[in-house]
Amino acid sequence: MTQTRRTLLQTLPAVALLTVTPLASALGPPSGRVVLTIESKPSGRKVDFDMATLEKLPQRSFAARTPWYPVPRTFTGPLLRDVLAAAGVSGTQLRLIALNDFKVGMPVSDTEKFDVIVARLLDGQPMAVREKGPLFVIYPYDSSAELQSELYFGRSAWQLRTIEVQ
Amino acid sequence: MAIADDRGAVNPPDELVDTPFARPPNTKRWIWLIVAILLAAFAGVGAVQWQQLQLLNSTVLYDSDNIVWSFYQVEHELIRLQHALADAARDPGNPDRQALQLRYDVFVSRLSDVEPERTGRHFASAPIQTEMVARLRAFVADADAYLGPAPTQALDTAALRWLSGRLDSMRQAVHELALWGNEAIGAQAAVRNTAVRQQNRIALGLALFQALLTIVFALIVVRQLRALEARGQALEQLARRLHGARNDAEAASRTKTAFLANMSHELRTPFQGVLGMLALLRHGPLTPQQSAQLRTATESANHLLGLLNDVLDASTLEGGHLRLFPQPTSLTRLLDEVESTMSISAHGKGLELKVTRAADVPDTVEADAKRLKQILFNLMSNAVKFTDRGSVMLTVERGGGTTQRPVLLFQVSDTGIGMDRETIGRLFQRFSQGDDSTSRRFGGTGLGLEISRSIAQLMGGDIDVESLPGAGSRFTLRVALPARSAEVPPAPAPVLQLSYTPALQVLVVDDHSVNRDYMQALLTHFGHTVRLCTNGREAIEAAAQGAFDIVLMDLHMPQIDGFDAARAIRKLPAPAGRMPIVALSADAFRETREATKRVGMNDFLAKPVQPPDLAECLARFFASPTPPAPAAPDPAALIDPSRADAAFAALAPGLHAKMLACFFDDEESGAIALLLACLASADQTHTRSAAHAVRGAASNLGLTRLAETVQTIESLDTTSFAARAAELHERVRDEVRATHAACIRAGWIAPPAPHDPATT
Repeated sequence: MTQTRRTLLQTLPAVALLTVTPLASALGPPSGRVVLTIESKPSGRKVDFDMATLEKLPQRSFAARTPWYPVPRTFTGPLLRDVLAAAGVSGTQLRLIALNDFKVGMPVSDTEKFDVIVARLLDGQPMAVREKGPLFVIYPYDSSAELQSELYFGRSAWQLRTIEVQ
Repeated sequence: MAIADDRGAVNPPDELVDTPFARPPNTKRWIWLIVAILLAAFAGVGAVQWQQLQLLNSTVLYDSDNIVWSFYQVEHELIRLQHALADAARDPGNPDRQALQLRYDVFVSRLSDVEPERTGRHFASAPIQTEMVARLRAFVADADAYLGPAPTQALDTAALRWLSGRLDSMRQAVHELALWGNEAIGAQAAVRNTAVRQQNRIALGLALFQALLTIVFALIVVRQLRALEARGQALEQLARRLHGARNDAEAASRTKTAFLANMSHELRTPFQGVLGMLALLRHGPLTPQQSAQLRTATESANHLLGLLNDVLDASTLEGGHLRLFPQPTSLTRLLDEVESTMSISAHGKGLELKVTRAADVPDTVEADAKRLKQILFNLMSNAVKFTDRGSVMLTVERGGGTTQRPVLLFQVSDTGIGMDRETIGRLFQRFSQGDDSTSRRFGGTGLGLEISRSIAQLMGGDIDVESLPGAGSRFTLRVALPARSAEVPPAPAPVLQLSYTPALQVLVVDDHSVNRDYMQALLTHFGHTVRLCTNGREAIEAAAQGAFDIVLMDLHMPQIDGFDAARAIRKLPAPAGRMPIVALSADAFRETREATKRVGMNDFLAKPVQPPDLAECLARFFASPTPPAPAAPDPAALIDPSRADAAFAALAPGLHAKMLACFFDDEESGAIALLLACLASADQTHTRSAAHAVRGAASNLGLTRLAETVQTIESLDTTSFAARAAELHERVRDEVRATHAACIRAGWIAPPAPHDPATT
C-alpha cells in the first residue's frame, strides 16, 4: 500500500506534465544488461534501462487478440508513459527502433490516450529475441474498436530497443 | 311559392357529379408495396455494408503485419546473418559473439511469420513454402547447437563456415520463397478486391434502386398532396358556388316576393277604378239582363280585390314586415262587430249565427284588434262558405293561463261539409284548399288560413282544427292575451271628419284613363267641377289658363312627370302658382312623400284613392266651418264617422266600401228588402229577425240613424207594430236612401251615375 501510494505520488505528476525530473537517474544507473534506451533527440541525452528497472515500475497486465498470435495472449509490462516519465524526457513524437533496425513513429499523445505498455512478459514469461522479445510495445487492442486498425498494429514495435523522443 | 329557377341556380353544379373525390382504390396498396420494397432495399444495403465492414475488419486484424514484408524480412535477415557468419569466419580471432547471437535470434524470430499456420488464413500454402520452411527449421535445429539458448558445441571457424555455407545455399531458394509469397498475396489481394468491387457494385445498385424508389415515393406523395389540394379547392369552389346559388335563390325569392307585393299593390289601383266604374254603371238605365251581368262583374271584381289583398298580406308576412300594434281592446265590442258583419252573409245563406263569450273571459284585453278581427273574419267566412245549412258559432272561452294573461280560445264551429284527415294536413299550407274540387267550387286564394295562422303565431298563439267529413269543422284560435282593466280608452280620434266643402274647380292629371274617369266620377259626385289632363304638359298649360282651386296630380307620367309639372306650376304667377297640389301615387314610400314636398306639393293621396280620403283631403284645404243648408236629413245623424272609422280599421282597405255597397245593393233582394217586405205585410215575427240582421250591420257600418230606427222596430209591441207598420215601412225606405246618399257624400262609397249631364 505504502509502495503503491509513493509510486502514485511519484508517477502521476510525471504523467500529467511529463516533467524533466530524472527519475531513472534517481533509480541509479542500470546494473544489468541494457534492454532499452530512451534518447531525447534535441538534447542528445540518453537514459538506459535494464530489465530490473523496468520491472520496478508499476506493471500493467492484460489479454489481447493480436495479428501475431492465433489466440489471445496476456501481456505484462510498465506503461510506456511511466517509462518516459522515469526517463525524465518530454516531447510530442516518439520514434520506436527495433533490434533489426525496424523504425516506426508514434505520437506521445497515444501514451496518454491509451494504456500502452512496454510488454516484457508474454503469458507471464520473459520473451526471448526469437520470440519477438525482449520488449514489445502493446496497445490494449481489445479495449477499443479504434485500436484494431493497421495504424496501431503498425505502431506496435517488437524487439524494441530504443525510443527517440522529439 | 316554390322557386323553380330557370337558370338552374338551385341545381347541383356539375362538379358534384364528376369531381375526382373518390380516392383511386389501389393507391394505398401501391404505397404499402413501395414502403415494403424500400425497407427491403435498406436491409439489402445494410447487409452488404455489414459484410464489407466484416471483410475490412478481418483484413485489418490479420493482414496488418504485411506478410510480404515478413517474407522479405526472412530473406533480409538470412543475408545479414550469413554475412555476419562469413565475416566472423574470415576473422576467426575476434568473433563478436554477442552481435552474431542477436543476428541469429532476430533471424529465428522472423521464421514464425512465414510458417504455413501463420499465412494459411490468407492463402493456401504451396510445396515451396512448406519445403522451404522445413529447410529453414532444419537449419535452425542444426545452428542451435552453436547459437541456441543452450549451445552444445563451440562456434569455431569451421562451424562458422559451415553455417555460412548452408545459409548461402538457401539464399536463392529463400528469394524464390519471397517472390512466391509476394505473388500469393497479390493473388489473394486481387480476389479480395474483386469481392469488394462486387459488393460495391451490389451496394451501388441497391443505393440506386433505393434512390429510384425514394423518387417514386416522393412523386406519389407529391401527387397525393396535389390531389388533396385540388380536392380542397374543388370543395371550396363548390361551397362558393352553393353559397352563390343559395344567395341567388334567396335573391330570386325576395325579388319575386317584392314583385308580387308590388304587383298586388299596383293591381289594386286599376281595380278600384273598375269597381268605381261598375258602381257608376249600376245606376244608369239598364235592362234587367245587363243588371244581372253587372252584378256578376261586380262580384267578380270584389272577389279579385279580396284575393289581391290576401296576396299582399301574405307577402308582407313573408317579408317579415307585418307589425302588430296591440292596445287595450274591448272583446265585447269586437265580437259585436264580428257578429254584425258576418250576420249579413250568414243570414243571406239562411244560416244561424251565434256569438257567445264565457263569463270568465275578461272584457278588455291587450290585442291588435284589427288583426284579431281579420283572423276571426277569415275563420267565420270560411265557416259560412263551407256550410249550406245549420249554424255557424263563435265561442270565446278561457283555456288556462294566469289571471293577468289568460289563454283565450276563440272557437269557430260550423255544421258544414267538414274535412278528412288528409285535407286537414294540407289545410294550412299555402294555396291549399281542401281539394281541387273545393277550390273550383268555393274559390279563394288559399292564402286566408295561412295568413290567419301566421298572424296568430305572430301574436304568440296558433290555430288548431278538428273536423270530420260531413260533421262540420271547428277551428280554434288559441292565444294568450294580457287582461286589462275594463276602462277602454276612447277610440282614436276619427280620421274622417264630416265637413262641408264648397264646390271646387279641380284639375285632375293622370295618364291612366280609368283613374281619370274614377276621379272624375268621385269629384263630380262630391259636387265639384273637374278638368282632366293626361300628362304634365297639358296640366301646366291648363293651370296657366284656367282658374282652378286645386290640382290632383299623378306622379308617374310619360314626358313631363308629376314632379316636373308641380315645379312648373309653382313658377306660375299667383293665384295659379299658389294653388294646392296633391300628389296621387301607389308608391307610398316615405322618400316619395318627401320628394313631393320638396317640389312644392302640398299633400299626398295614396292610390287607390279612397273616397273618404279624398273628401278629407279636400276638406283640409277648403272646409268651411258652416255647412250649407241641409237639403237632406242631417248626415251627421245619419252616419257616425267614429263608429265607421272602427269598421275601416277592422277591415281590409276597400272592404268597408264593399260592405256598404253590398248593404245598399240589398235594397232589392237582401236584408233590407226582406225587412221592407215584412213591414209591408205587417208580419212582426219575421220583421223582428230581419230587423235584427239589418241593425247589426247598420250599426257596425256606422249607419247610426238607420240602426236606431230598426232597433225601434224590433222593440215595438204587437199593437204598436200593427199600428205603425206602414209608417215605418216608409221611414225605413227613406232613411235607407238618405243614408246611402250621406255615405256617398262622405266619400265612403262610390257615387252612382252622375245626375248632371253638363259635367260629363
